[in-house]
Amino acid sequence: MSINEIEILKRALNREREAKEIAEKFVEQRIFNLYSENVSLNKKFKSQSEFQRILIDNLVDALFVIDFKGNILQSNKEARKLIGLKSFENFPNSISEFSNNNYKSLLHKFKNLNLKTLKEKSFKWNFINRKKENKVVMIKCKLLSSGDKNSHAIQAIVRDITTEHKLDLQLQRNQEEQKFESLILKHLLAKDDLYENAWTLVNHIAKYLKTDDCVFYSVVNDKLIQIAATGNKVETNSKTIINRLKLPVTEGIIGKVARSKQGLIINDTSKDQSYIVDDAQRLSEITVPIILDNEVIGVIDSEHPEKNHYKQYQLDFLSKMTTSIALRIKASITEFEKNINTEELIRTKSRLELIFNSDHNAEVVESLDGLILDVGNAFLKLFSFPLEQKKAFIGMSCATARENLKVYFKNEEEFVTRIDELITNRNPHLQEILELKDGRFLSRDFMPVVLNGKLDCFVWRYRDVTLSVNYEKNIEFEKTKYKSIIDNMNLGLLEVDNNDNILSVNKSLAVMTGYSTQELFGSKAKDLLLSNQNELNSLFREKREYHKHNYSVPFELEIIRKDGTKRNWLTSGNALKDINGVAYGSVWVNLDITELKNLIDKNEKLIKNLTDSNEELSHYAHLVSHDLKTPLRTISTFVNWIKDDNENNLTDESIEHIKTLEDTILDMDKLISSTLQFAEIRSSDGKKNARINLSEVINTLIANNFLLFEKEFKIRYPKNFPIIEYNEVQIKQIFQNLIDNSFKYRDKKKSSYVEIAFEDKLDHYLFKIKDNGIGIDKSYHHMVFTIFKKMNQRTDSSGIGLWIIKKIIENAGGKIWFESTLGEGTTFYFTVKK
Amino acid sequence: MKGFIFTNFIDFVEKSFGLEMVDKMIYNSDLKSKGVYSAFNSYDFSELQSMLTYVCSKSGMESKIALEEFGKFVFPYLIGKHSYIIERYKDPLELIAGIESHIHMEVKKLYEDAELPTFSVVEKTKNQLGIIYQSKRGLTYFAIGLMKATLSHFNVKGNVSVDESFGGQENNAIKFTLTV
Repeated sequence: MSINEIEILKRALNREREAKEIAEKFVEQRIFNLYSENVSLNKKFKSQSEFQRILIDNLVDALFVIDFKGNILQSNKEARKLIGLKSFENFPNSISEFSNNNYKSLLHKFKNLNLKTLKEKSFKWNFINRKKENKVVMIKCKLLSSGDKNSHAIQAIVRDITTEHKLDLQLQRNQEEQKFESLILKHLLAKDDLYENAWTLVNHIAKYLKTDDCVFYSVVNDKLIQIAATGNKVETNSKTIINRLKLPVTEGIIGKVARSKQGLIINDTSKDQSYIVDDAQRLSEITVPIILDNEVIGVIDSEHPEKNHYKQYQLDFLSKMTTSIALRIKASITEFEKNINTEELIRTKSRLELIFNSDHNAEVVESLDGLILDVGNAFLKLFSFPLEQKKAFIGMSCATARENLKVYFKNEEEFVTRIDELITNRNPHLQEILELKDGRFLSRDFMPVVLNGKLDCFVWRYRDVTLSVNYEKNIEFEKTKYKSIIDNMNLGLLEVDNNDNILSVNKSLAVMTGYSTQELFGSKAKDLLLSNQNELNSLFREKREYHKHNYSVPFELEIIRKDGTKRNWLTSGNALKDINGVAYGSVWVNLDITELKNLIDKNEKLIKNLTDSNEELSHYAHLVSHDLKTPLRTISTFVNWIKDDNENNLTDESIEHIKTLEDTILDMDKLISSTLQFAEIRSSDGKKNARINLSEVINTLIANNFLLFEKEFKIRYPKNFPIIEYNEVQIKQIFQNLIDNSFKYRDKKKSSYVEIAFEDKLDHYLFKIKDNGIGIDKSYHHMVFTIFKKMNQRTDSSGIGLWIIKKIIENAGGKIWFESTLGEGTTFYFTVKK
Repeated sequence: MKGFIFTNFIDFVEKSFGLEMVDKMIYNSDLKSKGVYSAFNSYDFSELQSMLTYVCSKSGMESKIALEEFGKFVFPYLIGKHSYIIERYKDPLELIAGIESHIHMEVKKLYEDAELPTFSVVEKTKNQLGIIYQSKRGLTYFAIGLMKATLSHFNVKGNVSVDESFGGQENNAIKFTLTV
């Protein structure tokens, strides 16, 4: 390498070294600058974030930073104030803790905002905070995004605009009211017609109050009359009010307002007793009086179906407004009243004229100075004056007329003096009854006529009441008659209405129940009297299946008297109907059958006892007779043996004694048999009857017993006998016994016969057994049916037979008797029930 | 003018004409910096003009060609140091169109005192790009060299035409049209 080259390289190296130093210096300087810059930047940043924090805290608006789950990331002092936190309370972590149920929709709103646009958005929101304050806020929100451009939270600046909102509302309201007032005044000034004006008024007011229902009442003659209405009260497309109410000023909320002259808001009518339901029950009501010169001339009433609809400001406004329109309304009402009065006057006049000239009322109008002003046609007719004389009467002095008329009256002087008296007193007197000489009765009304507070004339009105006087007298008489019958009969009468309230009773019922009539009136019959209501109800239910509304079938009831004792009544009832045929109650006829029932009970017991002892007796008789027969048979046997053993040793006298002994034994045996029989019929009471072919019975009877004696004892009887219901043994016994008797007591000097016959009577058969026997002496007739009486000494008769037959026949509901003549024969009659 | 132009120019002269030429050029050019250049610093543009004049007079090379060659020489240096900027582009026209809006922004980050020319795109199609170039220094051919190097970097054949009369003398405005 040449020196030149080395020199060049040295120079180049030096340049490079210098350049390196420069570069190092530059880098050092740069590093230092960067450091200081960093430090100042840091400072700047810190002060800026501090500034931001102060800014946020001093922000007049509330600030929230919320993530998308509703967690609150940042907030400021105003936010605490807005949600109404107390100083010791922690700030909620999430908006779900705001205890406001619409926070979800708020969160939803935020989310939508995020997804749709990235711009700022503002909206209005209202809520109730923890201090129960109603807040209206304007929320201005914005998405916050970090460096990676994904939004992560929402910043919401919330401005409390509650006051502004209220002011806005107030302003709006004021505008509305002004508009409304000017509208009403404009319309009301247009016309004088109360109807027109009232209709305009209610329609405007209903619109203002945001309801369908508004009614205008005007006070006419102390009554509140519905003049105009809206809503349901009006027939479609007309101005006719359905069911126009007229209320006395003492009634309802409207009446209350009319009296107090103070408007009223009822927030819940269901709690107000004075509320009167018109076409429908509505829960809130506002009522405003229209006052002129401290006098209520009308009332505006509006209702709304929901509670708490009306606000104080509405009442204030309406009260103010009504003052300004009162004069207009008054003018209309006056006009209205005038029309009504005129109309009424015209109507009254024509009505009066009609009445005056009708045939029914005979009237005379007398002036204050005693002259006849007018005479009705009927009056002339009443006293048979021709109608042409009407003119003669008019202008005549009343005194003269009276003198002429008094001759018609029974009491002439009283007719005149009483008229003077009435005129002096000047008090109306109605329906005074006067008797005429011809037997008619007149009713007289005296009426002083007052016009505009001054006595104007007198009107006399006569009516022929002869008919009604007589009719009333008759009715009165009948009434008294029946009243005393009803009161004195021993049936208790009870009249109740449909609700079972007692309307009237008679004296007997009061006695039967022990209550006074005053106590009975108005009380519920069933509650007061029945011991067991269910019994009656079930009874009715049963009966009704057969007889609807007909309880006239008597039934028994148990009743409790005032003193608590129980009685049995037999009761039957009947529905009562008014003249239109509508059932309004029922009348009940009651008979106290307690005593009767007791008697029946006693009887039943007695009969039972009797039956029992009878049975015992029969049983005993049966037993005794049976037991007696055995020793008797033994005696008879032994007597026979003694007789047989000693046949040849016995004296005639002894044989005679033994014969007497045998007869007596036979007699006794008969007696015992009869007793047994007697016992048997008694106990056969209960045996059943059967259908009996009587011809068969009698044929058998004759064939078995009397065939042998055909020649000396003829039995005549018809071919056919009726079929009867009877105890078979007993009917045989009856015929056997009677035929036996005829046979036993036949007159052996004659050719004897017995004749059996029957007659078919209405409800029974009459049997006749006629013989031509020895007959019965009249002196014995009374003993024929007596037990154990024999009219002879025959041993083949016990003297019990006829008595038994009588008993049998009578037991079966029949009768037996006889006719007999000594030496001619006897006829027995007996009856058998069909 | 930024130091890296001077350091690169020294390298360019050394590579093209040898170290002796560099030594003589610095000795004869009466340089205020005495030929000591650091890429971080800025130096007077006239120093570059002096050096370029010396080199051209000694070598007989036209200054336009020398500048264009210098542009082509600087391109790999720029790319090598700032490849993160170039990597975004797939197309030379896109890259050139993005000089003003993108590459100059990146330059300003590193050298806030850099005095940069303006390149405004006036027309752009898929195959053609019209750019107005405005510079105090009139390094037009340096710019052409850079653009040509860009084309060959992307292996694209094309040419750059110059309309020197475009903006008139006082505006120093020149229109380049790149066609590929």
